Amino acid sequence: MRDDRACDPELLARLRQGDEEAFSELYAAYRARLFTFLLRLGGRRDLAEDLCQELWLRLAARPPVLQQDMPLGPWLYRVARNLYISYLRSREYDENRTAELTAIQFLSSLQPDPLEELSGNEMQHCLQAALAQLPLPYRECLLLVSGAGLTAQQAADVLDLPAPTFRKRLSRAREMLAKWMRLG
Amino acid sequence: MAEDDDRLTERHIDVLLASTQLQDLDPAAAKRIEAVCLAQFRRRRRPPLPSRAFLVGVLEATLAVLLGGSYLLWNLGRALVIYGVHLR
Repeated sequence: MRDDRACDPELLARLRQGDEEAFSELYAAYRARLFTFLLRLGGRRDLAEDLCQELWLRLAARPPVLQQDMPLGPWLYRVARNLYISYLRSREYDENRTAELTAIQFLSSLQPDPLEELSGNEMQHCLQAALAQLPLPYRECLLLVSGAGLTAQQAADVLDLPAPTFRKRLSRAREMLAKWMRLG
Repeated sequence: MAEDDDRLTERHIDVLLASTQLQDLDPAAAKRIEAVCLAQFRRRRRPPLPSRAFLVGVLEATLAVLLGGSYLLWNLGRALVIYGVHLR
């Protein structure tokens, strides 16, 4: 991640030793970022909340053993993304047919940015709308790199994609988003 | 010129996405989730209690030893009696 947390290994070690404060510190550090990721991925606050709970329960039940100097962020994003994919599979979710509905729910679930309201700038709103229309494989690439701040390699690892494939997909995602924003 | 504009927009997408305000759980939901997870965390810390199956297994093994031992003694006794009768 671009804002790597040097304290992650130490916090994880404390977590494995049963330190409750370590859990609370991690929760405070990553809660909003993971919730935002899940919200942008699925477009529903209730779903993002449920998946968040599941994610943090997993961390509490079994803290991961990560290699030295490996940040916790990518692991958390991987679990979050896998939980969302599992949800889609369990519901036999058809993204294409419900894309429009998702976009509507997505927009209604996002709180307006006060600065955006003050300045009257619709750019952010336009961005969110275009993001909601992006197919999942492209949306998740963009959210991991541009939204969550993972490096391209970390994001490719999260998605289990070869780095060149990931870069192509990311480039295509940016292109599609830019196009939809211009149309919007 | 239009292409230049397009490239500019694509370049700015990362900046726009990164600058979008983070959303967060409702405070009540955030507290509830933390409490649930901490409870789970405490359960994980406790040493595992012997399960019911384990206790039943121990009971069964004890009974088997006791009954098996008795059965062995019973048969040994019988064999001695039979041998004794046979000697007479």
